[in-house]
Amino acid sequence: MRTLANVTELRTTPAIRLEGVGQIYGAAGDTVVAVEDVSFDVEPGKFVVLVGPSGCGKSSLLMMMAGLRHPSGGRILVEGKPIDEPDPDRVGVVFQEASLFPWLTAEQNVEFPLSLKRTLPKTERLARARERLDLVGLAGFEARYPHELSGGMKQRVSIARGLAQDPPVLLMDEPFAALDEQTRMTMGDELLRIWAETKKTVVFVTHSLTEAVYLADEVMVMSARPGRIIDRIKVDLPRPRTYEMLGGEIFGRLRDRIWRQIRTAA
Amino acid sequence: MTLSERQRASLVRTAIVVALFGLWELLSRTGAVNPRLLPPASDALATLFELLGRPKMRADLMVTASEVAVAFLLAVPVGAAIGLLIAESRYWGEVLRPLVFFLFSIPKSIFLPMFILAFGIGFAQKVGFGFFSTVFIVAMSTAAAVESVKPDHVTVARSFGATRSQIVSRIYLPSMMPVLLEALRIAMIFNFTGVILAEMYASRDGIGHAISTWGENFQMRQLFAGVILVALIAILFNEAVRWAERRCEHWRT
Repeated sequence: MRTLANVTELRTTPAIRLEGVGQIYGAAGDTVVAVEDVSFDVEPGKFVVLVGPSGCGKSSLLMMMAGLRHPSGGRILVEGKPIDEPDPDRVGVVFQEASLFPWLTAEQNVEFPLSLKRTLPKTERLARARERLDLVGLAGFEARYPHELSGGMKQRVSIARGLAQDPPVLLMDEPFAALDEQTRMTMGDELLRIWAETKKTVVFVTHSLTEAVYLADEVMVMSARPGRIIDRIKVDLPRPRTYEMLGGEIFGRLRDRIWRQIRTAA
Repeated sequence: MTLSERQRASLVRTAIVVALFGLWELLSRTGAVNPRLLPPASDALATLFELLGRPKMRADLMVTASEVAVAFLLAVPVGAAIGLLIAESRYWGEVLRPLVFFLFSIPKSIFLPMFILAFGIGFAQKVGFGFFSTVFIVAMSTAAAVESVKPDHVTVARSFGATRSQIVSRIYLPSMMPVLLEALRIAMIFNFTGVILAEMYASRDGIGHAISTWGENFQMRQLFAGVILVALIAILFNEAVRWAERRCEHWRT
Protein backbone atom coordinates (compact mmCIF):
# COMPACT_ATOMS: atom_id res chain seq x y z
CA MET A 1 0.00 0.00 0.00
CA ARG A 2 2.68 2.46 1.06
CA THR A 3 4.98 1.48 -1.80
CA LEU A 4 2.20 1.96 -4.26
CA ALA A 5 1.37 5.39 -2.86
CA ASN A 6 4.99 6.43 -3.18
CA VAL A 7 5.16 5.28 -6.75
CA THR A 8 2.06 7.20 -7.67
CA GLU A 9 3.39 10.27 -5.92
CA LEU A 10 6.71 10.08 -7.74
CA ARG A 11 4.98 9.93 -11.06
CA THR A 12 2.46 12.68 -10.56
CA THR A 13 3.32 15.05 -7.72
CA PRO A 14 1.47 18.18 -8.81
CA ALA A 15 3.11 21.52 -8.10
CA ILE A 16 -0.08 22.62 -6.37
CA ARG A 17 -2.99 20.50 -5.17
CA LEU A 18 -6.21 21.84 -3.66
CA GLU A 19 -8.52 19.35 -1.96
CA GLY A 20 -12.00 20.60 -1.08
CA VAL A 21 -10.74 24.01 -0.07
CA GLY A 22 -13.26 26.38 1.52
CA GLN A 23 -13.08 29.75 3.20
CA ILE A 24 -15.66 31.14 5.59
CA TYR A 25 -15.45 34.65 7.07
CA GLY A 26 -17.02 36.12 10.13
CA ALA A 27 -18.20 34.87 13.49
CA ALA A 28 -20.98 32.39 14.23
CA GLY A 29 -24.40 33.47 12.99
CA ASP A 30 -22.98 36.08 10.62
CA THR A 31 -20.78 34.20 8.21
CA VAL A 32 -19.92 34.68 4.56
CA VAL A 33 -18.83 31.74 2.47
CA ALA A 34 -16.12 33.23 0.26
CA VAL A 35 -14.79 30.05 -1.31
CA GLU A 36 -16.51 26.68 -1.43
CA ASP A 37 -15.18 23.22 -2.15
CA VAL A 38 -12.42 24.05 -4.62
CA SER A 39 -10.30 21.15 -5.82
CA PHE A 40 -7.75 21.11 -8.60
CA ASP A 41 -4.19 20.14 -9.45
CA VAL A 42 -1.64 22.30 -11.22
CA GLU A 43 1.07 20.30 -12.97
CA PRO A 44 4.66 21.53 -12.67
CA GLY A 45 5.63 24.18 -15.20
CA LYS A 46 2.05 25.05 -16.13
CA PHE A 47 0.63 28.54 -16.44
CA VAL A 48 -2.84 28.62 -14.89
CA VAL A 49 -5.07 31.70 -14.82
CA LEU A 50 -7.96 32.24 -12.38
CA VAL A 51 -10.78 34.50 -13.56
CA GLY A 52 -14.17 35.32 -12.13
CA PRO A 53 -16.50 38.16 -11.18
CA SER A 54 -15.35 40.71 -8.60
CA GLY A 55 -15.44 39.40 -5.05
CA CYS A 56 -15.59 35.77 -6.15
CA GLY A 57 -12.71 34.83 -3.90
CA LYS A 58 -9.96 34.39 -6.50
CA SER A 59 -7.58 36.52 -4.46
CA SER A 60 -8.60 34.69 -1.28
CA LEU A 61 -7.76 31.43 -2.98
CA LEU A 62 -4.37 32.77 -4.04
CA MET A 63 -3.62 34.05 -0.53
CA MET A 64 -4.42 30.58 0.82
CA MET A 65 -2.03 28.99 -1.69
CA ALA A 66 0.60 31.46 -0.44
CA GLY A 67 0.04 30.32 3.14
CA LEU A 68 -1.06 33.84 4.11
CA ARG A 69 -4.57 32.67 5.03
CA HIS A 70 -5.82 29.39 6.38
CA PRO A 71 -8.60 27.57 4.60
CA SER A 72 -11.65 26.91 6.76
CA GLY A 73 -11.90 23.49 5.19
CA GLY A 74 -9.93 21.15 2.95
CA ARG A 75 -6.19 21.33 2.39
CA ILE A 76 -3.58 22.76 0.07
CA LEU A 77 -0.39 20.97 -0.92
CA VAL A 78 2.51 22.69 -2.62
CA GLU A 79 5.22 20.41 -3.98
CA GLY A 80 3.45 17.57 -2.17
CA LYS A 81 3.57 19.15 1.28
CA PRO A 82 0.89 21.16 3.13
CA ILE A 83 1.41 24.92 3.17
CA ASP A 84 0.45 26.12 6.66
CA GLU A 85 2.43 29.35 6.60
CA PRO A 86 4.29 31.37 3.97
CA ASP A 87 7.25 29.42 2.64
CA PRO A 88 9.29 31.55 0.23
CA ASP A 89 11.42 28.54 -0.74
CA ARG A 90 8.34 26.94 -2.30
CA VAL A 91 6.12 29.88 -3.21
CA GLY A 92 6.92 33.40 -4.44
CA VAL A 93 4.15 35.99 -4.56
CA VAL A 94 3.79 38.98 -6.89
CA PHE A 95 1.24 41.52 -5.68
CA GLN A 96 -0.63 44.37 -7.31
CA GLU A 97 1.03 47.67 -8.01
CA ALA A 98 2.51 49.72 -5.18
CA SER A 99 3.65 46.73 -3.19
CA LEU A 100 7.33 47.66 -3.52
CA PHE A 101 8.94 49.22 -0.45
CA PRO A 102 9.47 52.90 -1.31
CA TRP A 103 12.38 53.26 1.13
CA LEU A 104 14.45 50.61 -0.68
CA THR A 105 16.11 50.73 -4.11
CA ALA A 106 15.11 48.25 -6.83
CA GLU A 107 18.07 46.07 -5.89
CA GLN A 108 17.31 46.23 -2.15
CA ASN A 109 13.66 45.40 -2.82
CA VAL A 110 14.68 42.23 -4.64
CA GLU A 111 17.23 41.43 -1.96
CA PHE A 112 14.64 41.88 0.81
CA PRO A 113 13.33 38.26 0.85
CA LEU A 114 16.89 36.93 0.88
CA SER A 115 17.93 39.26 3.69
CA LEU A 116 15.23 37.90 6.03
CA LYS A 117 16.91 34.51 6.33
CA ARG A 118 20.54 35.65 6.16
CA THR A 119 21.67 32.28 4.86
CA LEU A 120 23.70 34.02 2.16
CA PRO A 121 26.35 36.70 2.71
CA LYS A 122 25.33 40.23 1.72
CA THR A 123 27.51 40.38 -1.41
CA GLU A 124 26.02 37.15 -2.69
CA ARG A 125 22.48 38.32 -1.93
CA LEU A 126 23.05 41.53 -3.89
CA ALA A 127 24.61 39.56 -6.75
CA ARG A 128 21.51 37.36 -6.83
CA ALA A 129 19.26 40.44 -6.78
CA ARG A 130 21.14 41.95 -9.73
CA GLU A 131 20.84 38.65 -11.59
CA ARG A 132 17.05 38.67 -11.09
CA LEU A 133 16.78 42.30 -12.19
CA ASP A 134 18.74 41.38 -15.28
CA LEU A 135 16.30 38.51 -15.94
CA VAL A 136 13.31 40.90 -15.87
CA GLY A 137 15.09 43.36 -18.15
CA LEU A 138 16.06 45.97 -15.57
CA ALA A 139 19.85 45.79 -15.70
CA GLY A 140 21.13 49.31 -15.01
CA PHE A 141 18.18 50.29 -12.80
CA GLU A 142 19.48 48.69 -9.58
CA ALA A 143 19.95 51.94 -7.68
CA ARG A 144 16.59 53.49 -8.61
CA TYR A 145 13.90 53.98 -5.99
CA PRO A 146 10.35 52.85 -6.84
CA HIS A 147 9.14 56.44 -7.30
CA GLU A 148 11.76 56.81 -10.03
CA LEU A 149 10.37 53.86 -12.00
CA SER A 150 7.36 53.61 -14.32
CA GLY A 151 4.40 51.37 -13.45
CA GLY A 152 5.64 48.59 -15.75
CA MET A 153 9.15 48.77 -14.33
CA LYS A 154 7.81 48.57 -10.78
CA GLN A 155 6.00 45.36 -11.64
CA ARG A 156 9.18 43.97 -13.21
CA VAL A 157 10.94 44.62 -9.89
CA SER A 158 8.02 42.94 -8.15
CA ILE A 159 8.40 39.85 -10.35
CA ALA A 160 12.14 39.81 -9.71
CA ARG A 161 11.42 39.98 -5.96
CA GLY A 162 8.94 37.09 -6.24
CA LEU A 163 11.66 35.04 -7.94
CA ALA A 164 14.41 36.05 -5.50
CA GLN A 165 14.47 32.79 -3.61
CA ASP A 166 14.00 30.77 -6.79
CA PRO A 167 10.75 29.10 -5.67
CA PRO A 168 9.21 26.52 -8.03
CA VAL A 169 5.79 28.20 -7.75
CA LEU A 170 4.96 31.82 -8.54
CA LEU A 171 1.57 33.24 -7.50
CA MET A 172 0.49 36.50 -9.12
CA ASP A 173 -2.41 38.60 -7.80
CA GLU A 174 -3.60 40.91 -10.60
CA PRO A 175 -0.06 42.16 -11.10
CA PHE A 176 -0.83 44.24 -14.20
CA ALA A 177 -4.26 45.57 -13.19
CA ALA A 178 -3.06 49.14 -12.68
CA LEU A 179 -1.08 49.37 -15.93
CA ASP A 180 -2.20 51.02 -19.16
CA GLU A 181 -3.12 48.69 -22.00
CA GLN A 182 0.10 49.02 -24.00
CA THR A 183 2.30 48.40 -20.99
CA ARG A 184 0.04 45.53 -20.00
CA MET A 185 0.54 43.81 -23.37
CA THR A 186 4.30 44.25 -23.17
CA MET A 187 4.38 42.95 -19.62
CA GLY A 188 2.35 39.90 -20.67
CA ASP A 189 4.94 39.03 -23.30
CA GLU A 190 7.75 39.70 -20.82
CA LEU A 191 6.13 37.46 -18.24
CA LEU A 192 5.78 34.63 -20.76
CA ARG A 193 9.46 35.00 -21.69
CA ILE A 194 10.51 34.92 -18.01
CA TRP A 195 8.23 31.94 -17.41
CA ALA A 196 9.73 30.06 -20.38
CA GLU A 197 13.27 30.83 -19.14
CA THR A 198 12.68 29.88 -15.50
CA LYS A 199 10.17 27.02 -16.01
CA LYS A 200 8.12 28.05 -12.97
CA THR A 201 4.61 26.93 -12.18
CA VAL A 202 2.46 30.07 -12.33
CA VAL A 203 -1.00 30.78 -10.93
CA PHE A 204 -2.18 34.17 -12.16
CA VAL A 205 -5.33 36.05 -11.06
CA THR A 206 -6.83 38.61 -13.42
CA HIS A 207 -10.00 40.45 -14.40
CA SER A 208 -9.02 40.63 -18.04
CA LEU A 209 -10.33 37.80 -20.20
CA THR A 210 -7.96 38.71 -23.04
CA GLU A 211 -5.01 38.57 -20.67
CA ALA A 212 -6.28 35.24 -19.30
CA VAL A 213 -6.48 33.52 -22.69
CA TYR A 214 -3.27 35.12 -23.96
CA LEU A 215 -1.17 33.90 -21.03
CA ALA A 216 -2.70 30.64 -19.90
CA ASP A 217 -2.22 26.94 -20.52
CA GLU A 218 -5.47 26.57 -18.66
CA VAL A 219 -8.09 29.10 -17.50
CA MET A 220 -10.15 28.31 -14.40
CA VAL A 221 -13.41 30.21 -14.18
CA MET A 222 -14.84 30.93 -10.73
CA SER A 223 -18.46 31.65 -9.89
CA ALA A 224 -19.69 34.60 -7.86
CA ARG A 225 -19.69 34.17 -4.10
CA PRO A 226 -19.47 31.52 -2.83
CA GLY A 227 -16.56 31.03 -5.23
CA ARG A 228 -16.38 27.69 -6.94
CA ILE A 229 -14.57 26.48 -10.04
CA ILE A 230 -17.31 26.29 -12.67
CA ASP A 231 -15.21 25.70 -15.76
CA ARG A 232 -11.69 24.68 -16.71
CA ILE A 233 -10.66 25.66 -20.20
CA LYS A 234 -7.51 24.36 -21.87
CA VAL A 235 -6.00 26.97 -24.13
CA ASP A 236 -4.53 25.02 -27.03
CA LEU A 237 -2.93 27.97 -28.77
CA PRO A 238 0.70 27.30 -29.69
CA ARG A 239 3.58 29.02 -27.92
CA PRO A 240 5.11 31.50 -28.18
CA ARG A 241 1.88 33.44 -28.15
CA THR A 242 1.76 36.33 -30.59
CA TYR A 243 -0.25 39.49 -30.97
CA GLU A 244 -1.85 38.12 -34.17
CA MET A 245 -3.51 35.30 -32.21
CA LEU A 246 -5.65 37.87 -30.39
CA GLY A 247 -7.74 38.37 -33.54
CA GLY A 248 -7.88 34.67 -34.38
CA GLU A 249 -10.92 32.42 -34.32
CA ILE A 250 -9.70 30.10 -31.53
CA PHE A 251 -8.89 33.06 -29.30
CA GLY A 252 -12.29 34.63 -29.80
CA ARG A 253 -14.10 31.37 -29.14
CA LEU A 254 -12.24 30.77 -25.88
CA ARG A 255 -12.80 34.29 -24.65
CA ASP A 256 -16.53 34.06 -25.50
CA ARG A 257 -16.84 30.83 -23.58
CA ILE A 258 -15.26 32.36 -20.48
CA TRP A 259 -17.38 35.48 -20.76
CA ARG A 260 -20.60 33.45 -21.00
CA GLN A 261 -19.58 31.46 -17.93
CA ILE A 262 -18.86 34.58 -15.91
CA ARG A 263 -22.05 36.32 -17.03
CA THR A 264 -24.25 33.43 -15.96
CA ALA A 265 -22.26 33.00 -12.76
CA ALA A 266 -22.34 36.63 -11.63
CA MET B 1 24.77 83.66 -15.52
CA THR B 2 21.29 82.32 -15.00
CA LEU B 3 20.06 81.15 -11.63
CA SER B 4 17.75 78.23 -11.06
CA GLU B 5 14.34 78.96 -9.61
CA ARG B 6 15.39 77.59 -6.24
CA GLN B 7 18.56 79.69 -6.11
CA ARG B 8 16.60 82.78 -7.01
CA ALA B 9 14.03 82.03 -4.31
CA SER B 10 16.69 81.63 -1.64
CA LEU B 11 18.37 84.84 -2.81
CA VAL B 12 15.11 86.76 -2.48
CA ARG B 13 14.51 85.14 0.91
CA THR B 14 17.90 86.28 2.18
CA ALA B 15 17.25 89.73 0.80
CA ILE B 16 13.96 89.96 2.73
CA VAL B 17 15.67 89.07 6.03
CA VAL B 18 18.50 91.54 5.40
CA ALA B 19 15.98 94.23 4.41
CA LEU B 20 13.96 93.68 7.61
CA PHE B 21 17.06 94.05 9.75
CA GLY B 22 18.04 97.10 7.66
CA LEU B 23 14.61 98.68 8.16
CA TRP B 24 14.83 97.98 11.89
CA GLU B 25 18.25 99.64 12.02
CA LEU B 26 17.03 102.62 9.98
CA LEU B 27 13.84 103.21 11.96
CA SER B 28 15.81 103.29 15.19
CA ARG B 29 18.83 105.29 13.98
CA THR B 30 16.72 108.00 12.32
CA GLY B 31 14.54 108.26 15.39
CA ALA B 32 11.40 107.38 13.43
CA VAL B 33 10.72 104.96 16.26
CA ASN B 34 11.90 105.87 19.74
CA PRO B 35 15.30 104.12 20.10
CA ARG B 36 14.54 103.51 23.77
CA LEU B 37 11.68 101.30 22.70
CA LEU B 38 13.38 99.89 19.62
CA PRO B 39 17.19 99.85 19.95
CA PRO B 40 19.06 99.51 16.63
CA ALA B 41 19.49 95.98 15.27
CA SER B 42 23.27 96.32 15.41
CA ASP B 43 23.05 97.17 19.13
CA ALA B 44 20.83 94.16 19.78
CA LEU B 45 23.27 91.86 17.97
CA ALA B 46 26.26 93.33 19.80
CA THR B 47 24.41 92.85 23.09
CA LEU B 48 23.70 89.24 22.11
CA PHE B 49 27.42 88.48 21.74
CA GLU B 50 28.21 90.30 24.94
CA LEU B 51 25.49 88.35 26.79
CA LEU B 52 26.80 85.03 25.47
CA GLY B 53 30.11 85.83 27.15
CA ARG B 54 28.49 86.22 30.59
CA PRO B 55 28.55 83.18 32.92
CA LYS B 56 25.06 83.97 34.25
CA MET B 57 23.68 83.89 30.72
CA ARG B 58 25.43 80.62 29.94
CA ALA B 59 24.03 79.14 33.14
CA ASP B 60 20.52 80.28 32.18
CA LEU B 61 20.91 78.65 28.77
CA MET B 62 22.10 75.41 30.35
CA VAL B 63 19.11 75.39 32.72
CA THR B 64 16.66 75.89 29.86
CA ALA B 65 18.43 73.34 27.64
CA SER B 66 18.35 70.67 30.33
CA GLU B 67 14.67 71.36 31.12
CA VAL B 68 13.80 71.11 27.44
CA ALA B 69 15.88 67.95 27.00
CA VAL B 70 14.44 66.13 30.03
CA ALA B 71 10.85 67.12 29.20
CA PHE B 72 11.36 65.97 25.61
CA LEU B 73 12.99 62.68 26.56
CA LEU B 74 10.09 61.91 28.90
CA ALA B 75 7.28 63.10 26.64
CA VAL B 76 8.39 61.31 23.47
CA PRO B 77 8.46 57.71 24.78
CA VAL B 78 5.32 58.17 26.90
CA GLY B 79 3.46 59.87 24.05
CA ALA B 80 4.69 57.25 21.58
CA ALA B 81 3.47 54.45 23.87
CA ILE B 82 0.02 56.04 24.13
CA GLY B 83 -0.02 56.57 20.35
CA LEU B 84 0.91 52.94 19.72
CA LEU B 85 -1.82 51.77 22.07
CA ILE B 86 -4.37 53.95 20.27
CA ALA B 87 -3.33 52.75 16.83
CA GLU B 88 -2.82 49.07 17.55
CA SER B 89 -5.58 48.27 20.04
CA ARG B 90 -9.09 48.79 18.78
CA TYR B 91 -10.48 48.97 22.32
CA TRP B 92 -7.96 51.44 23.74
CA GLY B 93 -8.11 53.44 20.53
CA GLU B 94 -11.81 53.94 21.04
CA VAL B 95 -11.36 54.81 24.72
CA LEU B 96 -8.33 57.10 24.50
CA ARG B 97 -8.53 58.80 21.11
CA PRO B 98 -11.23 61.36 22.04
CA LEU B 99 -9.57 62.05 25.40
CA VAL B 100 -6.23 62.83 23.76
CA PHE B 101 -7.98 65.07 21.25
CA PHE B 102 -9.90 66.90 24.01
CA LEU B 103 -6.75 67.50 26.03
CA PHE B 104 -4.80 68.54 22.97
CA SER B 105 -7.38 71.19 22.10
CA ILE B 106 -7.17 72.96 25.49
CA PRO B 107 -4.65 75.84 25.77
CA LYS B 108 -2.04 74.39 28.10
CA SER B 109 -1.14 77.74 29.68
CA ILE B 110 -4.32 77.78 31.82
CA PHE B 111 -2.85 74.87 33.78
CA LEU B 112 0.34 76.76 34.69
CA PRO B 113 -0.87 77.93 38.13
CA MET B 114 -1.73 74.33 39.04
CA PHE B 115 1.71 73.20 37.97
CA ILE B 116 3.23 75.79 40.27
CA LEU B 117 1.06 74.58 43.16
CA ALA B 118 2.06 71.01 42.47
CA PHE B 119 5.73 71.40 41.55
CA GLY B 120 6.87 74.80 42.84
CA ILE B 121 8.79 77.11 40.54
CA GLY B 122 11.91 75.03 39.94
CA PHE B 123 13.19 72.41 37.52
CA ALA B 124 10.31 69.95 38.10
CA GLN B 125 7.65 72.50 37.20
CA LYS B 126 9.36 73.35 33.88
CA VAL B 127 9.86 69.70 33.00
CA GLY B 128 6.31 68.87 34.05
CA PHE B 129 4.78 71.65 32.02
CA GLY B 130 7.05 70.96 29.01
CA PHE B 131 6.02 67.29 29.19
CA PHE B 132 2.34 68.22 29.46
CA SER B 133 2.62 70.56 26.46
CA THR B 134 4.23 67.87 24.31
CA VAL B 135 2.86 64.47 25.22
CA PHE B 136 -0.51 64.77 23.43
CA ILE B 137 0.88 65.89 20.10
CA VAL B 138 3.40 63.02 20.26
CA ALA B 139 0.60 60.53 20.99
CA MET B 140 -1.52 61.81 18.11
CA SER B 141 1.38 61.87 15.67
CA THR B 142 2.54 58.40 16.62
CA ALA B 143 -0.95 57.03 16.06
CA ALA B 144 -0.96 58.73 12.65
CA ALA B 145 2.48 57.29 11.91
CA VAL B 146 1.37 53.73 12.75
CA GLU B 147 -1.72 54.19 10.60
CA SER B 148 0.48 55.31 7.70
CA VAL B 149 1.97 51.80 7.51
CA LYS B 150 0.49 50.12 4.44
CA PRO B 151 -1.15 46.74 5.22
CA ASP B 152 0.00 45.59 1.75
CA HIS B 153 3.62 46.06 2.74
CA VAL B 154 3.07 43.94 5.83
CA THR B 155 1.43 41.22 3.71
CA VAL B 156 4.36 41.27 1.28
CA ALA B 157 6.84 40.87 4.12
CA ARG B 158 4.79 38.03 5.60
CA SER B 159 4.67 36.26 2.24
CA PHE B 160 8.46 36.18 2.32
CA GLY B 161 8.42 34.62 5.76
CA ALA B 162 9.25 37.73 7.83
CA THR B 163 8.98 37.24 11.61
CA ARG B 164 7.05 39.65 13.86
CA SER B 165 10.19 41.47 14.93
CA GLN B 166 11.37 41.69 11.32
CA ILE B 167 8.03 43.21 10.37
CA VAL B 168 8.47 45.83 13.09
CA SER B 169 12.06 46.72 12.26
CA ARG B 170 11.99 46.33 8.48
CA ILE B 171 8.45 47.51 7.64
CA TYR B 172 6.93 49.53 10.49
CA LEU B 173 9.97 51.64 11.35
CA PRO B 174 10.93 52.76 7.85
CA SER B 175 7.25 53.30 6.91
CA MET B 176 6.73 55.47 9.99
CA MET B 177 10.00 57.39 9.73
CA PRO B 178 8.84 60.37 7.63
CA VAL B 179 5.74 60.99 9.78
CA LEU B 180 7.71 60.36 12.95
CA LEU B 181 10.43 62.88 12.09
CA GLU B 182 7.83 65.51 11.37
CA ALA B 183 6.15 64.63 14.67
CA LEU B 184 9.43 65.06 16.58
CA ARG B 185 9.98 68.44 14.97
CA ILE B 186 6.52 69.71 15.88
CA ALA B 187 6.74 68.13 19.34
CA MET B 188 9.94 70.08 19.97
CA ILE B 189 8.20 73.35 19.04
CA PHE B 190 5.46 72.59 21.59
CA ASN B 191 8.00 71.47 24.18
CA PHE B 192 10.26 74.50 23.82
CA THR B 193 7.24 76.81 23.94
CA GLY B 194 5.98 75.09 27.10
CA VAL B 195 9.28 75.36 28.94
CA ILE B 196 9.88 79.01 27.96
CA LEU B 197 6.33 79.90 28.95
CA ALA B 198 6.74 78.24 32.34
CA GLU B 199 10.03 80.09 32.86
CA MET B 200 8.50 83.44 31.97
CA TYR B 201 5.54 82.84 34.24
CA ALA B 202 7.39 81.97 37.42
CA SER B 203 11.05 81.13 37.75
CA ARG B 204 14.41 82.09 39.17
CA ASP B 205 16.54 81.14 36.18
CA GLY B 206 16.45 80.07 32.55
CA ILE B 207 16.41 82.08 29.33
CA GLY B 208 12.64 82.57 29.52
CA HIS B 209 12.97 84.10 32.98
CA ALA B 210 15.79 86.35 31.75
CA ILE B 211 13.67 87.59 28.85
CA SER B 212 10.66 88.40 30.99
CA THR B 213 12.86 90.22 33.54
CA TRP B 214 14.49 92.35 30.80
CA GLY B 215 11.03 93.21 29.53
CA GLU B 216 9.78 94.25 32.95
CA ASN B 217 12.93 96.30 33.60
CA PHE B 218 12.75 98.02 30.25
CA GLN B 219 16.15 96.64 29.15
CA MET B 220 15.25 96.67 25.51
CA ARG B 221 18.66 95.80 24.02
CA GLN B 222 18.88 92.68 26.18
CA LEU B 223 15.25 91.83 25.48
CA PHE B 224 15.76 91.94 21.71
CA ALA B 225 19.03 90.01 22.00
CA GLY B 226 17.21 87.31 23.99
CA VAL B 227 14.41 87.09 21.46
CA ILE B 228 16.91 86.69 18.61
CA LEU B 229 18.78 84.02 20.56
CA VAL B 230 15.69 81.90 21.34
CA ALA B 231 14.48 82.28 17.77
CA LEU B 232 17.84 81.11 16.41
CA ILE B 233 17.96 78.06 18.68
CA ALA B 234 14.42 77.04 17.67
CA ILE B 235 15.12 77.55 13.97
CA LEU B 236 18.36 75.56 14.10
CA PHE B 237 16.73 72.54 15.71
CA ASN B 238 13.80 72.70 13.33
CA GLU B 239 16.05 72.87 10.27
CA ALA B 240 18.22 69.97 11.48
CA VAL B 241 15.18 67.69 11.67
CA ARG B 242 13.81 69.02 8.39
CA TRP B 243 17.09 68.12 6.74
CA ALA B 244 16.66 64.53 7.95
CA GLU B 245 13.02 64.60 6.81
CA ARG B 246 13.98 65.63 3.29
CA ARG B 247 16.30 62.67 3.06
CA CYS B 248 13.38 60.27 3.37
CA GLU B 249 10.82 62.36 1.53
CA HIS B 250 10.47 59.86 -1.32
CA TRP B 251 9.29 57.22 1.18
CA ARG B 252 5.93 58.90 1.26
CA THR B 253 3.82 57.33 -1.44
